Amino acid sequence: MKTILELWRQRWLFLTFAKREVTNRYSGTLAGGLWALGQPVLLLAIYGFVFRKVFKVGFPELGEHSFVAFVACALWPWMAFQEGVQRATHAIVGNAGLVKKVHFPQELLVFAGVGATFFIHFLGFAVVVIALTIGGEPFRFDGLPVVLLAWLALFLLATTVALVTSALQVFLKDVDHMLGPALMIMFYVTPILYPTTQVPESVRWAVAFNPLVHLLEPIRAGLMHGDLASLGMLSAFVVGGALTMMAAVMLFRRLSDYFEDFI
Amino acid sequence: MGVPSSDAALISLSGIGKSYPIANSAAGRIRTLYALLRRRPFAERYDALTDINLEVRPGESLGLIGVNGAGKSTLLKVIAGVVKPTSGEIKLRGRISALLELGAGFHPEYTGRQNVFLATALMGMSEQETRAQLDSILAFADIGEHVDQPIKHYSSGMIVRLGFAVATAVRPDILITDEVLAVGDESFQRKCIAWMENYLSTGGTLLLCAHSMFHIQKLCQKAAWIHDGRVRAYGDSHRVTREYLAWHDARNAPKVQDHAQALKSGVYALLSMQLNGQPSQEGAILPMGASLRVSGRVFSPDDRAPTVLVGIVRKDGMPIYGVSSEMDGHVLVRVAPNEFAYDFEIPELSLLPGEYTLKGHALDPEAYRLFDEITADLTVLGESRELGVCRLPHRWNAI
Repeated sequence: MKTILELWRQRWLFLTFAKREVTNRYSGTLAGGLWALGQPVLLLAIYGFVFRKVFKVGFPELGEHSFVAFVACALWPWMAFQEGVQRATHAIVGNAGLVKKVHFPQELLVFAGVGATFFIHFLGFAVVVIALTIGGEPFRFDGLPVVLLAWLALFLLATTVALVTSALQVFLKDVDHMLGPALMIMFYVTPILYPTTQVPESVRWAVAFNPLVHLLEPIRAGLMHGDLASLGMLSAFVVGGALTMMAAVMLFRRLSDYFEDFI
Repeated sequence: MGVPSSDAALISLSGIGKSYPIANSAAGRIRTLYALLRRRPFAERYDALTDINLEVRPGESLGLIGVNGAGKSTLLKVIAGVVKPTSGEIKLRGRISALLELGAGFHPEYTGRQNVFLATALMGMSEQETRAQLDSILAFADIGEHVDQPIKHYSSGMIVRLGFAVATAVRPDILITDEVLAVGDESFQRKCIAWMENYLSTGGTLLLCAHSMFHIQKLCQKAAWIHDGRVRAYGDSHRVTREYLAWHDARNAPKVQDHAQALKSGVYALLSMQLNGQPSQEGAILPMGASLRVSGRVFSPDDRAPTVLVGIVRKDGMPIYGVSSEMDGHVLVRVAPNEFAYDFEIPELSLLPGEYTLKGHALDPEAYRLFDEITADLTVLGESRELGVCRLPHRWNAI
């Protein structure tokens, strides 16, 4: 509780850091914020071509929806998670000057790193969903509460992971090297390009251990079918996510006492 | 150091210690990580600070002095909150502004104005508060229309000016600075000093770390001399800086080999030294104006006539007079193989009454290098109201 109050008092600093994260990322570029949208759109186009035209992938879950819309629902949340974790892992090491010389709650750097990435990709997600709807995709907007709740739970999950990885990165530079392959594997074992039902029965039990499955599937179900069934489970995820994040903050603080020495 | 505690103190440190893990290998890093997570003490550690007790009261500025690596900066960082102490208790009162590095929070791609907002947010100010202060900050920094250009195009002096302007935007109760007075051009330094003096005269308190004793004496009432992570001296800034300077000069004096070691290692060395015929260990006690004779034998490894230097220093190490046989063109007499005799005399010792140290040194024939040192106590007796260390020939003329 004390921690939350303390962080609330520092909200200006968080906002300034987050703003800096967003503007820094595209300062000096010609296209600016368009890069945030362009990269996932390009990926989406490639996946659409390879899976739809080359592999001729099709499954009953698509129903009246296009494969592109199916992938788009999960791709943007995934990008937010992956990029948020990857960027925030460098939040402490990348701000060595600040960490060594100025007194402030350093976890704010991690929050800002994840927060800024989520802000950017959530906007991209909104733009793509609207664009696809205009293009004739029958998205169901009554599923919106589920979608928003899932994004929130995803943000908490990404922040928890980033708090741990960013603190460990200060002591062990290997974290960064392990993170790349780990996230790549994660991308393929998470049902982003395929539905969970396509996973062979014999290994489907293992899929359930991947928390991302429980967050990405409801987004899809909500947008494609207006399915609100997972509202209760997602609320539990948000509460549990907030608690684990607080635990991660504690762990981060134990290590942060010695950041300035190892950074 | 027993410092009486008081509720009025702005900063109060008791038993502050800070140790860092020594982790050079990968395994060491993992062990350190494990120790941190388990909240265990480190297996191998380096104590940067040990048992620091200090107190800073309102209006009573404190200067930290000491050689590089003594722990001054670590102590400042502990007080500024950047470093968490391993042991001890720290109590802080009032608004603290720490200037550990001017422009530490600045981002090169940002304009001066944007950086001001980030820096003030780091100080806990909201955007509205910053807006209210912006004009006075920019006026003090005096960087003109450059404020809307990215910091990377600034000169280092401009960054420093902006940093100082931001740090002093809101009048802090305690201002912590680390060597910042030594940066910037002459006019900026004057501006800083002027600001500080105004700040101090209106009741502000400064915690300063500087190598310039002049700044410490000018700005601080109290000084603490930090040595090897401990407080070696604490008190009136003039007294502490004097002590530190005396120690510093003594340390920087040419290194002289230990007498016993010099004898053993077969270099130029004094075999004996007598003061007025008595062995040097007994010292010499003589009235002012008496004659002082320093004599003995000196060893020469290559059988060439060595140089002997005799000097007198005050008890605190300040040299009074020294002269060598080489300076005077005197060649020592060979009395035995590898052995030379010296006999030096001051016919009328004009030192004022007091305690002194007499030093005898053996040097090579070219008088390039000191090899040996023998010291002896020298006490001059007498009554005198004269000032200083020695009586200079003088007279009062009738007009």
